[in-house]
Amino acid sequence: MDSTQLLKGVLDLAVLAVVDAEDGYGYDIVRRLRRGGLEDIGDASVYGTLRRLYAAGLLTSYVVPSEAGPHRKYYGITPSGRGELKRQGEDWRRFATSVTTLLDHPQGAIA
Amino acid sequence: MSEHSTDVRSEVLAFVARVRDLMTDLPPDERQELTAGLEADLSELVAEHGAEALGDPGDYARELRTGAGHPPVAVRRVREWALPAAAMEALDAAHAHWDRLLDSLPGDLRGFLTALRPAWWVARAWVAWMVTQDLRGPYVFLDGLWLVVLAAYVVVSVQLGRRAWRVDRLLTTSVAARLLLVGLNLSAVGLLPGAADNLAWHVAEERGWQVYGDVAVDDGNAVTYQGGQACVLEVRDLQGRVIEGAYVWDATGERTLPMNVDAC
Repeated sequence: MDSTQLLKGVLDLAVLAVVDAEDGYGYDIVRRLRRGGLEDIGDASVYGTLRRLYAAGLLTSYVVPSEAGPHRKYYGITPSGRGELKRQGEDWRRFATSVTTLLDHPQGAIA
Repeated sequence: MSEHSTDVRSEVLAFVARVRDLMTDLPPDERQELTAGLEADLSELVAEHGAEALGDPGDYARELRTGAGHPPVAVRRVREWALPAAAMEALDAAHAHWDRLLDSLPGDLRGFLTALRPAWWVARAWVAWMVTQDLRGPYVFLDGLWLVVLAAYVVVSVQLGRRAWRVDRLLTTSVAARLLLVGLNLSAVGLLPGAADNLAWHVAEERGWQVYGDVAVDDGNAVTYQGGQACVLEVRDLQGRVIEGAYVWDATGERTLPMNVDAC
């Protein structure tokens, strides 16, 4: 199955989780997501998601100037972002458990 | 900086500029937010995987826009007349040019100016307040009601700056609103020195009152007596009757003195 479709639904959650672990700039967050197993993630999708989450007040951002090159824009999580992460995380775990149970015991779904 | 790294940088800059050009339908702030930091991120991508990793700017812009919750491609704004459309395009182009100019300068000038924006929102509200005071009369009032007016101006100015109250939508659809905002900002810049001067004059006057007390200001045409302004001058005859139509000339004999000051 094409994991890109699955990713769309959980990208917000994955990004919030990564930023919650540690503040990071765009490409650093992309790298951490890929290292975490989401190899197919597109960096522009992540940057767009970061912007959207920032606009929704779930992330904060600050610029770190660099003498060697262009400045970097870092993102951190806000208290409401942490709340959203908790909520979405619970939803995801419930959903994943249901699907796993369904896959393991498909007969159980027959009434 | 080596020739190679210069080439890479210009390639990244051109890519970012192309991506930005594909977002001109978005409000300037949104476009700026979406592409700020892109240069650093893409430079790192290129350093790791080579320039070919940049790919197609069109695909990149589509992905970026979708991720941020915008339509994948620029939506042509519905405009009724050709002239406003052309003006809007010109404003977009001027804004994009300004962005590129700031980015081409050394240091994080754009970041610096962005950090200053809230201060400007407050400053322009204050200028508008001073202009309102000026329209009302020659004195600057710092009492409760005027402070409430100032607070209201600050709220409106900050909300405009934050593009709240659906201002962002208005600015992407109405060239008149956009031109009005540009005009108001330019007016505020022009009026800022006068407003500062007016306030400085007011502060000096206040201090003068504190030091010298309530002394009528000699505006060149007021008659003062024992520190206060003489509001009414009357010429009387030996029997004490007021002589109507009489005038008093000053010591120089060059001008008559005000006989009855209504505003006194």
